Amino acid sequence: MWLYQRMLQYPVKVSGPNPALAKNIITQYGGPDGELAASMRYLTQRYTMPLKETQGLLTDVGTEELAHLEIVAALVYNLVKDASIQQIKAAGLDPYYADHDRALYFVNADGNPWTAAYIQSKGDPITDLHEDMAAEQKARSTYEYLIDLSDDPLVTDALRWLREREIVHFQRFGEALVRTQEYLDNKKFY
Amino acid sequence: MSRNREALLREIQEIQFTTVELQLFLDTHPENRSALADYVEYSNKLHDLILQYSKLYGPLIGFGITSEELDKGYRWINSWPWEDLGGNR
Repeated sequence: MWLYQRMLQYPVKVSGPNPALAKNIITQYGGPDGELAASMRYLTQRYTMPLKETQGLLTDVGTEELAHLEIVAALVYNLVKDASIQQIKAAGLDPYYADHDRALYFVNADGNPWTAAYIQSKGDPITDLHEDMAAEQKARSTYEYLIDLSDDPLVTDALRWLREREIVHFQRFGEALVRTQEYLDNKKFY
Repeated sequence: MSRNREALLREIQEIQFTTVELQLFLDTHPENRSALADYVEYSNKLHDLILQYSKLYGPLIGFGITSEELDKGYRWINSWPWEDLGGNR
C-alpha cells in the first residue's frame, strides 16, 4: 500500500491565472512523457526485475513520480481556477473546458487522452531499463520546452526543479542497468 | 498559512528531499556505509520534524503517528496541499 503525505514534495506558487500556460503544462500530467506515464511504467515494470535493488529503485522512483504528478496538478489547477471564460477562450482552452470545466484530466497539450500505449513493460530487464532511461530524457526535454514556453517565473522555478529530478533518475537507472548486466553476465556458466 | 507553519513545512520538505535522494542512491549503492549513515541521520531528523509539525498543525501522514495530533479533532481534511499556494496574486 502507499502512505499519503499531505504536502507537496516541492513548494510551488503561480503568479496568477494563465490558462495558456496550463494548456501546455498539462502534457506533463497526462501526456506521453508525463508523470502519470512515468509512474505507471516504473510501478508496473518492477515485478519482473531480477534484482531486489532494481525492484526497490522502480518502487521508489515510481512513487516519487506520483509526488511530481501532484505538483503538476497543483500548477495546472492554480493556473486555471481563477481564469475567466474570456481568458480560457483566448488561450484556446475552451475545447478542454467543454469536456472538463476546470477539472484535472489526463491529456497531452493537444487534448489527446492518456493511453497505456505510451508505456512498455517488456519483461526483459535490460530492455525495460533502457526504456526507463529514455523516458527520463524525454521528460527532461519536455520540461525544457515548457521552460521555453513559460512566462511565469514562479512556474518556471517548479519546472526547473522537476527537470533536475529527471536527470537524477536517469543516473540511478543507468547504475541499475550496470548492476543488472553484471548480474546476468555472472549467471552464465560455460 | 502562517509564516511559522510555512517555515517548518519548508524545513520538512528540505530534509525529506535529502532522504529521498539518499534512498534512491542506496537502491543502487546498498553497500555504501556513509550514505546509510546519512540516511539514518536525516530520517531521524525528518521523523522529529514531522512529529513537531503534526502536534502544532495537524497530521502530515494519516493514522495518528502521535496521539497529540488527534486531541484537537480530525484535522486530516484541513487545507490540502494544492490549495493556499500563495504567490503574487
